[in-house]
Amino acid sequence: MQNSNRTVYKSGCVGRSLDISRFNSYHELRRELGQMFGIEGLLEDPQRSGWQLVFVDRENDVLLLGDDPWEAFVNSVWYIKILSPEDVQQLGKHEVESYGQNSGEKVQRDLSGLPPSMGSFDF
Amino acid sequence: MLQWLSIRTKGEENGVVGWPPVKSSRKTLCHRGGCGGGSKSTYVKVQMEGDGIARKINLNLHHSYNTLVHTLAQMFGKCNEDVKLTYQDKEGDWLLAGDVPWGSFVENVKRLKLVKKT
Repeated sequence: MQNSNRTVYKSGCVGRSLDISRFNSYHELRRELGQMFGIEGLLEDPQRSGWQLVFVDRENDVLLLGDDPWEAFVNSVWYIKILSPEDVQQLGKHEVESYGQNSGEKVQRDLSGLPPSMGSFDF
Repeated sequence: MLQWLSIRTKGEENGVVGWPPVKSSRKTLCHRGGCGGGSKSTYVKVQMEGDGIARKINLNLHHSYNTLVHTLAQMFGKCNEDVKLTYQDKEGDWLLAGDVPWGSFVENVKRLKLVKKT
């Protein structure tokens, strides 16, 4: 892999960079990220902790980390974002935002670190 | 050339006998079911209307629309009855899933989207 460095974002924190080719599994990656951001143990059990790891791929889609076979993930990941339970809730509020557009309501979305062109989910 | 033909990997069921040479990590991945049992990737993206985080699903694990919709609905914490499955085909069109035979669907599907029944 030519450039295997990938950026990891977490709201409220400065971004970090890691070499994705150092890892062989999601478990290793989760553990490393937990340590890097001082949230050890929270990323390994999202059901319990409410913290989610998502990534943006080269088609600009936001995907939950872990569904793809590891190699497919490595080949498609553009950057990674760590979401706190509050962040996850904000992303779910996208529904409110899209229905509330006409009423002028603005939903605060904490997407710091994501590019402005972050994909729309409407088709 | 002959040395490649004589390489056989245990457990290969699809008749591949070692040519063209496949990177060993990829072989291991396939044996673990990571490739979905075929050479073509069968993982497609799936979004839930209103949900900001998409998932991926391995279509090779399904053989009918029913099992697929059931699994997808569960993935997003919804009931089968509350959702409809749509998909984007190779031509970029968004269609309601279910009209064409399953095999044809699998051949043409590029991505999936679950929408709420209104």
